[in-house]
Amino acid sequence: MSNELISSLHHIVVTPEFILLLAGIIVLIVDAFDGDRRPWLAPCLSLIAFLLAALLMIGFPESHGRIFFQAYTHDTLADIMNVLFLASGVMTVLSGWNYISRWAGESGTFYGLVVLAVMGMMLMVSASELLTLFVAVETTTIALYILSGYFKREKWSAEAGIKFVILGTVFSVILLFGMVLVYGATGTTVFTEMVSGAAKSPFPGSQIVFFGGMILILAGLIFKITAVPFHFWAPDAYTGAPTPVTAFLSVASKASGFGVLIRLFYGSFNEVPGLQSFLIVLLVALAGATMIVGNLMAIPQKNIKRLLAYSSIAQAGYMMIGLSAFSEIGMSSILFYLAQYVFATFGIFVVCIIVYNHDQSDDLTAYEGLSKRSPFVALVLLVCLLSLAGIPPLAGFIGKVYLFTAGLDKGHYLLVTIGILTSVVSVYYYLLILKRAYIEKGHRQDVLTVPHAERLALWIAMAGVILLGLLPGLVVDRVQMTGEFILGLIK
Amino acid sequence: MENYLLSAIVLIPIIAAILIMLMPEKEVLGPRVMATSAALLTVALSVVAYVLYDPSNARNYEVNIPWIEGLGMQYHVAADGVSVAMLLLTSITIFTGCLISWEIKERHKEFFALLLILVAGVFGVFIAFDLFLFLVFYELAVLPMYLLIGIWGTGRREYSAMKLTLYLMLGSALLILPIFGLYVQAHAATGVWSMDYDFLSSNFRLDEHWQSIFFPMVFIGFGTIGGLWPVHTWSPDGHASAPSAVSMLHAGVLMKLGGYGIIRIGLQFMPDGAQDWAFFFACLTVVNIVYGSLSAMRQTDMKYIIAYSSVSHLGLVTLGICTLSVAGINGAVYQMFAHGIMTALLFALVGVVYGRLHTRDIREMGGLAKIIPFTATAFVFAGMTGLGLPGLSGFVSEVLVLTGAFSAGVIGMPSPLLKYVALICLTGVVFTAIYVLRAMQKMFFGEPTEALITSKYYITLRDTDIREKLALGVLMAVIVLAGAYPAWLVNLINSGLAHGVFPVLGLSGF
Repeated sequence: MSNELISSLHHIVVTPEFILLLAGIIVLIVDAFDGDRRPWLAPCLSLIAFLLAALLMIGFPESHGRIFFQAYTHDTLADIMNVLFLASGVMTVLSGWNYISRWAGESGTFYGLVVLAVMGMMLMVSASELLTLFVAVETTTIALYILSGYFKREKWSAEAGIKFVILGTVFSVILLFGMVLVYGATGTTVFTEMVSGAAKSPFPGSQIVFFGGMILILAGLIFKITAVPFHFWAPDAYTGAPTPVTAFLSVASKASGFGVLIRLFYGSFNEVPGLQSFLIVLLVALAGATMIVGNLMAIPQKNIKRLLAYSSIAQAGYMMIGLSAFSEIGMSSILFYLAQYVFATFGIFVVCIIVYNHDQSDDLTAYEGLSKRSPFVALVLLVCLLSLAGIPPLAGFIGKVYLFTAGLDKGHYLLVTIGILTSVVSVYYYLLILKRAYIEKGHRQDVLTVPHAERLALWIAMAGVILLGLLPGLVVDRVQMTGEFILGLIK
Repeated sequence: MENYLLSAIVLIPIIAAILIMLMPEKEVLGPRVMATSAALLTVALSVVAYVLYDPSNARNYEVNIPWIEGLGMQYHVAADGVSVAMLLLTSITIFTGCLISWEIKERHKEFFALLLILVAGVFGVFIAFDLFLFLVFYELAVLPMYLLIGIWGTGRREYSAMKLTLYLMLGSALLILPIFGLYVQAHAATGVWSMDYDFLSSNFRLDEHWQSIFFPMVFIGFGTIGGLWPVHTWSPDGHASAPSAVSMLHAGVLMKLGGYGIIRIGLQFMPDGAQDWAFFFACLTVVNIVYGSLSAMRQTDMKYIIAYSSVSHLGLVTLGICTLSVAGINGAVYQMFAHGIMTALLFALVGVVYGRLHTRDIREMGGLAKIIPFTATAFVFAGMTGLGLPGLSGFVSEVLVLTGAFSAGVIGMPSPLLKYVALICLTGVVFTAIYVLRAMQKMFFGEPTEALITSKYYITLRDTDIREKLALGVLMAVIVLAGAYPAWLVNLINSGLAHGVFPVLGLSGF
């Protein structure tokens, strides 16, 4: 037993996670002792930790494997997801650099929590066993709870935090209950063994209990990706949270939900016809509803964070087209979409942060005349919004048609039609923002100053969106490998 | 070397746009000169493309480089006769458009940069032989229009810009499903992911059921940008609000993407669907032609008159396509070229008059021929082209398209009833004569109106300067060239179609 444990401890596989865990704790400690004198130390340390972890992952591609008695899988899916989480960690740190210290006073804890949340997400997508998954989900969510209510003296931030905590807990319980049912029905917690476990079970009706448990787990994860019908928390939580956290929630948290969905559902039910076809119908219906609700509700919004919250609900709907395809191309299309989504979303939120730092307003009216006040900031906003709307040659266009291809490939013509039509709706409300930025003349004429950290973040975002649009092959080749690998695991 | 010709035509405007954006804010002359010379360079290259064009070759200047290998998308550009004709049209329009908008003062850097990006997209569409690349360029051409009208427009510009963008986006949304449906079904049949135009057209044929579902989507999708009734309503508002150069490019070139796309994608990949639907859409185009010209008769704003006349004239393009005959399709492409140049000339002239008088209402003018004779001559010239005077380009396309319509049914396609449709369309020619002559008469002849004489701009009114004369002269020369000796253009277009859609439709070229 102990020999097996030691031999399965390929420590190198979890080194990136370890680095982040250590870094998170160090940042918290350092900040407690030295935070007032050296406020730049915490963000710098967390950036270094992210970069180190990314370097290790890219530098040791052979570190793939399933360890800890099948509980933890490191494969290309985990690699790509982890890079996404680290990238959004870096972007969160950069975008929070001035915002957090300015509006929250002390800031070190913020960075420590971001690092720990990123670590939790990395654990989530690598977890290939229910208990590990639950622990990982909780690690992440608790850090996110604190982050959303980070401006504890502000009413709105506290409200967002509390809403998120209460609803999040309810859905954690649902998730846990689903896991219990699945374990009861199958006698195993390992993803890849559950199907055969349910088939072998001596008790009558265990197949039904297994289905039920999976549906509850799905509900818990749908909460995380903010899809209909469990999307209602997102607009409030997104609006109330500090803007860097909003961006982090709408990118990394959503990506982690999709990562788990891919590993759990693609990796375990590829060969259960009954459950799979039921899930496809369910996911298709939810995807359609999510796109419609998200896009239509975004139109009347006056607050940019609330608008982006609804738009991010809609984006989740698009990605669910890929999820409901249950195919190689479906999975790779989600991964590609997430990769470009990181850049576009952070680009927009960094613009929001810059505008808020100047005008203390998240209203759409604050964006009037933005192209005069800072052509560069307005350009990034333009590029990122158009990418989200799916306008070529930006990355969002390829992401969307990739997802649509996956849907059409499975014959989901109606769903893809909804996707295409709601994209046109999204063009409308994105243009409403751009209209303010480019066409209307605002009351404020003062030039927007862009500090170095934000400027760097804007450049990264814009370069990512354009580069992935012109040379999508860079990522497409990788995500296609992943698709073959994950599905190959089952076959 | 020759093969990079087409890529150069697309890249030159993009590079020029970037260079313009990098110029200092105070720079006044730089952006204009840069934009105009880039446009002139594309004219030169398009002429080179015409001169070196080999009619026996289906794909001239072909470049095919893998782009997204995993998804079977490539940078595949080439030109056939139709592409070359459209390249000539586009480059001439952008060159004259840059000359005409020389005087833009507010945010002129962004104006010229956006104009060039738009035109790069248009060039790209005409040379793309990969469906994905086609879509990328297509949408690239559509979106800058929003800002161009929204920022530099007049009147209800924000409303018009939004309406235009949403209509065009909805139109391109209709294209996504057929194009990607084709892509996915070709993969299911051949096992290869490919968006390559030539691969798809030679290795795969959609079954009839799907063809007759996809064809109307393609037709309406492209018809939206091509001014098809009843999805044309964005166009009069859009043209009326847009600055002159943008109207020129828009009516002159952008709306031609519609007819081009229907031929390139609709007829090529859904020939059976085209047979099923041709008569239905021919009936819609009658509404286009007759309703467009009747609406133009009622307008008093010069831009609305020209915009509705565009709706009417573009009906001839879609009618020509719907005849599914050699003469009809040739005539449709010829009309795309002829109408493009003519409408560019008209919008340029409106820009000239509006820039001087600050009104576009024809009731407030009169007797202008005495004061600005060159402008008046050019206007009459353009008007005569519009009403189809023999010897000018409008006549040739009318003859070709109507011949096509009358010959339809004779060779079994698509319905003998098309003749009667064509007869109704002929009434449109009469109405065109009415609104053209009416507008001329009110603007340039008779006595100046009270409103005109009391206008503070009346005293300083002067005729076109050398720059404007150059732009107008180039356009008029092309009209004469295409009208008096149409063979060069018809042969060019026919050679392209003979390698493309004619074999698919079971026709053989002239």
